[in-house]
Amino acid sequence: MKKAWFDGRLYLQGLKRLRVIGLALAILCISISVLIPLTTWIKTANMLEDVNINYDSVYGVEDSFSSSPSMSEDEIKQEIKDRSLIVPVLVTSYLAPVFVLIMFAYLNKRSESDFYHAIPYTRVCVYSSFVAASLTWAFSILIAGGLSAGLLWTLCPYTTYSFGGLICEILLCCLNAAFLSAFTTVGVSLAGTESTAIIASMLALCSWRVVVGIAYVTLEDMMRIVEVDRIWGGYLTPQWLLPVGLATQTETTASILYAVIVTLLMLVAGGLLYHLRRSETAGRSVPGRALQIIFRCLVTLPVALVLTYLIIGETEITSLLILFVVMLLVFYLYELLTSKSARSMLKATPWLGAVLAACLIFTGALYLSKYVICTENISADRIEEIGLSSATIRGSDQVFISDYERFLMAENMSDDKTVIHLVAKALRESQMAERNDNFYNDSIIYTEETPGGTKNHKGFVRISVCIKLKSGREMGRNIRMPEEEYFTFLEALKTDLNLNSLPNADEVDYCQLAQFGHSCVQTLEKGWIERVLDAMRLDHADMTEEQKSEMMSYGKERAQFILRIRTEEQTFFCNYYLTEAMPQTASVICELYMRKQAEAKAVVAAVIEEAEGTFGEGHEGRLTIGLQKNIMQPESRYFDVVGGRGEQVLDFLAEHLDEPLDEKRADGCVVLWMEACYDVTSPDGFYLYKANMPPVPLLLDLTKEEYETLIGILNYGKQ
Amino acid sequence: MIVANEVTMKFFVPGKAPHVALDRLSCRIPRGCIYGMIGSNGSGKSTFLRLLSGVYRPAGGTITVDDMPVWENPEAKSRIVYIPDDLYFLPQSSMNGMAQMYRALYPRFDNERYRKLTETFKLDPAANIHTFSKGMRRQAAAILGLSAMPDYLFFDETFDGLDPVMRGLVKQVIYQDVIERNTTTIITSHSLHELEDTCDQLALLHRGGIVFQSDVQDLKTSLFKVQTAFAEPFTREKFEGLNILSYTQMGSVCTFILRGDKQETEARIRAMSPLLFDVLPLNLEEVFVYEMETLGYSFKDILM
Repeated sequence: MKKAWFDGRLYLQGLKRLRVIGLALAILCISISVLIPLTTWIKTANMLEDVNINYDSVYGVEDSFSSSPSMSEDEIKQEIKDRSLIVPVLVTSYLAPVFVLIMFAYLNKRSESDFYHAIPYTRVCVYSSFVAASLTWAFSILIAGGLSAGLLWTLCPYTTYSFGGLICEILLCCLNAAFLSAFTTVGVSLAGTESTAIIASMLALCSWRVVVGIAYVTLEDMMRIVEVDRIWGGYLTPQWLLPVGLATQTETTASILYAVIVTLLMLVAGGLLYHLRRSETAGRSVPGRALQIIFRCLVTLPVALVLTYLIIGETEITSLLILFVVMLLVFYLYELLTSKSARSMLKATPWLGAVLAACLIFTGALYLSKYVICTENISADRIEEIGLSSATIRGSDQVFISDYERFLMAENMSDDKTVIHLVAKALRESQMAERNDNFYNDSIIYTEETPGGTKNHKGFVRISVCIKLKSGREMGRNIRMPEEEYFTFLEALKTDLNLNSLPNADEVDYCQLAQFGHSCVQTLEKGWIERVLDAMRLDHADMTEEQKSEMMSYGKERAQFILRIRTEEQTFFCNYYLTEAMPQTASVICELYMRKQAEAKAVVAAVIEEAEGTFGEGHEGRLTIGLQKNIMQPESRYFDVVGGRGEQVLDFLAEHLDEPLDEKRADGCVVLWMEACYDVTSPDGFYLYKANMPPVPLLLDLTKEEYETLIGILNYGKQ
Repeated sequence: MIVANEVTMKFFVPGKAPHVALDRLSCRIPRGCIYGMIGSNGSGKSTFLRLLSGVYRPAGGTITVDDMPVWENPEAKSRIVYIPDDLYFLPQSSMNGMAQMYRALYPRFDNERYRKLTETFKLDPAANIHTFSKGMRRQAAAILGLSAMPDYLFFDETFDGLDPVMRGLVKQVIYQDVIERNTTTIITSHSLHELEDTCDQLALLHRGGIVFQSDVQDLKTSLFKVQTAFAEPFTREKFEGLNILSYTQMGSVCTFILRGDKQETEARIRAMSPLLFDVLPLNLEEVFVYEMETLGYSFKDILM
C-alpha cells in the first residue's frame, strides 16, 4: 500500500462530515446574495416615481440621485463595481475557517482522535484530504453565492456590471477563504480543545499582524516625518497583512501573490504540525510545555504592546494602570484556565518577564529607528527625483489641492531643481522639528493683512513626498514648509509634470451647482459641464497657485461646483468654490441662474400674494431668506424676520420683482434665496412656502442704495 | 508477529515531570495467538495497544508487526483494527453508516461477514447507534472491527461490557478467525476470569512494564494444590524434595502448593500412607498470586 498524499475516499468522507454546516452556510450565503440585487431592483423602481429625493444609498451600492422626475432609466442606471457586487460572499469567505474547525474537531476528543489516527492512512494523507474537503465546501458556496448574485444583477434593469469583474471578485473571496483556512489548520494541529484551537488559529493569524500593526501606529505617532507605509519597502504594513478582500490595497498582482504564497506556506506548516502532533494532545487545553509557554506569551503580547504604545505616547497614568492590570489578568487567567492549576499559574510568572523584555526590545528598536531617521543627512545633491505621495498626513495640504490633483501627481517624479531644493530644505527643518517633538506644534509664522482688512495667518503646510536618491534608494517623508514655499513648490512641480489641475469634461459624469450651503442645488447637463470646465480653465490660466488653492477652500456661502470625476482607477468627488479670481466661471453661473429666473420670480410672486396679511397683528408670520450682495462676494447673510419686518421685506420684493435684468451685469446682481415663509398662528404652523422652488436663487438688480435699504429693513424694519 | 523492543512512552503533565506510561517494555506475540493483558488502572495496557495501532509514536524502542514498523505505515495499519474502551461512532450514524465508512477506510472489509454478524448479534443495522445501550455499542464496534478482516485485532476492555452470552459469541468468532486466518488478537482486561477461558497467553502489566507473562496452559498445569493428612505428627520437612511454594498446616492436615509433575508428586505422597490425600483445583488468580510472590510482588497490591 503506497504512502499517498491524498485519498479520494477520505476526501469524500470529509465532504460528508461537513455537509450539515455546508448546506446551512450555502443557504444563508445564496439567500442574502440574491436578496441584495432584488431589493435594489425593487427600490430603484420605486424611486423612479418619487420626485423628492436628493440622495439615496442602497446597501453595497453608492449612488447619488438628484430630484428629477425627468431622469431616464438609463441615467439612473448604476454600474455596480468591485465588492459591492457580492458583499455577502465576501462576508461568507471569512467564515471558511469554520469548516476547518469542524472538520478537524476530532482532534479535540480522545476517542475520535484515536479512531482517525488508527485508520490505515498516513497523517499527511488524512490532513490533505480533509483540508481539500473543507476548501471544496467553502469554494463551492462562494462560487454559488457569487454567481447567484451575478445572475440577479444581470436581470436587474437598473444596474450594469462587468462579468469579468464578478469572476475576479469571486476568486479573491476564495483566496481570502483559503488564506484564513490555512491559518486555522495551524491552530487545529497545535491545540487539543475547541477553544484553544480557535485561540491558536487567531494567534497564528494575528500575532505578527498585531506586532506590526502596533509598531506601525507607534511609529506614526513617534515619527511624524516618516511615511510609515514605505519603511519596510511598503510590504509590512497592516493593509498587506490583512486577509485579501478587506483592505482596498490588496488587489495588486503583488499582494495577490503574497496572499497565495502565505496560504501555501501555512497549509504546509499545518500539515507538518499535524504530522508531528502527539495524539494524546486531544482533549487537553495545554498541548505541551513549549507550546504552552509560546501561547501564554503570545496571548499577553498584544496587550503589553498596546501598553508600550501608550507609555511611549505619554498617556495619562490611569489608563496605563488599567491596561497593566488587564495585561496581568490576561496572562494569569489564560494560564489558570488552560492548566487548571493555581500552582502552574504562579510558576509561569517568570515568563511575564519575557513578555516585558520583548516590549523593551520593541521600544528600543523604535527609538533607534527614530534616531536614525531624524539624523540622516539628505541634501539636495543626493536627491534624484521628488514626487508628491498619494498619502495624506494630518493637517495639511488637502485644503490646497483636490484629491483628483493629488491622484494625478501621485508617484509622478520630478527632477526639477527648484522642487528638489525646496524639499531638501524643508526636510532638514522637519527633522529638526521632529527631534524637538515640534513637527505639529508649530506656531503661526506670520500674519498677512488683505486689502479688505482681513488678517490671514500663514503657517506651515505639511505634505507627504516620495524621495528617490541617486543611490536608488526610495523613501517617503512628511515635511512641512511655509505656505509661500509650498505654492512655489507646487507650481514648479505642476509645471515640470505638465499637469492640468482640472479634469476633462469626459471624466466628469456628474456635476451640481450649489449655493447657500446646499440650500439651493441644481444638477447640470453635459453641455453645461463642458462650459463650466472651459470657463474654469480660462480662469485658471491667469491664477497663481495660491489662488487656485483658494478654490478648494471650503466656503459655505459661496457658489460651488460639486463634480464626480471618474478615472479608470478611482472616482473622486471634488468641490470647486467660486472666488473673486474666477470671472469667467461667475459669468457661467449667472447664465445658469438667468435661465430659471422666470420660474424663480413666479414662486416669489406667489408667496407674496399668499402671505398677504400673514405678518399683520394677530399673526406670527415668519420669513427666512439668504442674501448675497453679488455672485462673487464670499459672504452671505441669513435673515429670519417676523411680524412687520417680514411684511416690509415682501413689499420690497414685490416692488422690485418685475424690474428687468440686464444679463450683462448679472454678476453684479443681488442674489436672494427664499428658504421658508410660514404662519405660526395657523392651526398646524402652516407653511406658505418651504424651499421647493426651482433650485435657483433669485437675482435682483438693485442699486447700492436699494440694497442697503433692503438690509436695513431686514435688520431693523423700515425707518 | 508483533515484536515490541524496549518500548517507552511518556506523557506531558502540566507543571510536573513527564509521566512514564511504558518503561522499556518488551514482548513477542506470535501470529495466531490470543494474547491477554491484565493490569490495574494506569498500568499501560491501553497505551500499549495504541502504540501497536499506530496512534502513538513511542518515545523510545521499536514496535513492529510482521517486521514492519506501525507508525505512519498504512500497509501495516490496514491489517490492524483497534477497538478501544471509549468507542467512537459518527454522529447520528447507524451501523450501516459506520459500515460504509469502514468499507471506505479498510480495503478488506467484508460486507457478507458484516451482514452475518449483525444477524447473529441481533442488532438493527439501520438504527441510530447512539440509541444503543453500552453493551450493544460494544457489540457494534466488535462487529465492525471483525468485518474489516484484520490480521491483528485489539480489544481494549471491550469484553468487560459484554454479557456472558455475547462474550461467548465474540469468542467463537475470534476462534474462527484464529483458525481460518491465523488472526492475532490482544485482549486487555481488569479481570483474570474474563481472560482465563479465552486467551492462549497472559501478561501482567504493572507500572509500565510486563511483570509476568506465560502460556495459560503452562500456568494451569505448572502449579497444583495438595491437601493431605497423616496420623502421626509431622512437619514441612516430611515433604523435603518437593518444590513447595506455599505451605499451611492446621493440626494433622496440611495444604500446600507446589510446582512439579502431578503424578510423580502423588505417587510420592501416597507412599507415605497419608490418611487424606486430595489434589485441589487451583484457579488462575491463585496461580498468578503464587507466581508473583515468587517474583517478589504481591498480586493483590498490583490489582487492587
